[in-house]
Amino acid sequence: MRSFLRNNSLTLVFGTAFLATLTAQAFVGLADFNQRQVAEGFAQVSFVQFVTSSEFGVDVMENWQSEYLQFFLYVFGTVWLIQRGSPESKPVGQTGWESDKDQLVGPHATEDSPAWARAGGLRLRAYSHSLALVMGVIFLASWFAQSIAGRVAYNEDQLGQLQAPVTWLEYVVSPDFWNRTLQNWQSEMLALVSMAVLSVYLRQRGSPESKPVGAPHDTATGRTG
Amino acid sequence: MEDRTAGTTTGRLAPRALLAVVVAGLLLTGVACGTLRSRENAAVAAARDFRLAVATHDASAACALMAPQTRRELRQTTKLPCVRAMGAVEIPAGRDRDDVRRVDVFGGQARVEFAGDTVFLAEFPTGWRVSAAGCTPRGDHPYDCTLAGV
Repeated sequence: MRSFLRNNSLTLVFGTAFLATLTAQAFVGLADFNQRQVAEGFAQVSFVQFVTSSEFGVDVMENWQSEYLQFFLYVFGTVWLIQRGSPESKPVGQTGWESDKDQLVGPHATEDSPAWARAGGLRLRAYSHSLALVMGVIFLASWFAQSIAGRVAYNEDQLGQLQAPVTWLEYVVSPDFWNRTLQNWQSEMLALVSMAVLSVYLRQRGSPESKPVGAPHDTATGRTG
Repeated sequence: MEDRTAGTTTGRLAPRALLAVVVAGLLLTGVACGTLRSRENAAVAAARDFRLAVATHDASAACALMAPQTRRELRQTTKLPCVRAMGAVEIPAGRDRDDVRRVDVFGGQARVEFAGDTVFLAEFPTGWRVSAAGCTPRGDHPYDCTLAGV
């Protein structure tokens, strides 16, 4: 049990932190929503009503989609894009899918390689891109969910202000949808560029996200401490 | 060897897990659609009851079907108790049970369109209550309503 906790501490700690912060978001979101309901003369809602509402759903989904977009872009973009000196980047000159030998696939697969890496054809092609594919699919699914929940939450506000509701097609070209989307995308892009550039010059001793403290700035691309 | 066994088990479990997710999704969609339909029916029933109360000059029933904010606004505007104020505002009435053109329910808000009138409602623990009535659309602007608490 102790070795399981130690071997999976990264997943367990951040998984627990995720559930804790999602729960905290639900409670403060409920308080915020009910404050507005009282101010506008409408009824307050219960915790269960709130966490199953589109108001809560859109706030969660708009953040999820942007996080998965960020990881999709980073996983896929770093195949081709380089930042010299960054531990997040491959060395200059190694862009692209790389050779079967480097990737340990086909005849270069080892006994420990995953079954689909040892297989050929479609299974190998799918498995070769499975991380980016899954990230991309979750991004698209959560962005779609944002549009569904966002429309309901937007229309609830519209009706509360005696204005006509909009269709899904009208909503996905509306300022509300794109404001929610772009305010999340811009922060994710900033995080990506910050990580790529700052990790060239700054260090965190012991972190695999950083180069070794004594590594030079403009070389040691892709080396982690 | 152990890895291969694990891979085979995972391979068998994956379609079942996918099927479970699809079935759960369909069930949830079915429940959501059923819930929405019953909430639409409840909103329409409240709007009809309100219009019928106005048509039959049952002011106390009409006032009871109003949202608290709407009742308050009516009292402040007319300087009269709600029951007496009902005679001072012109609200389209209706006795016909089949004159609903369209109903929209989003969260705790609803709009019911009748021939010649639109009624807005909000959901309270006691049921749907009329937040505005006698409303006509004004393009991108809020509806123009003879009775409103917004």
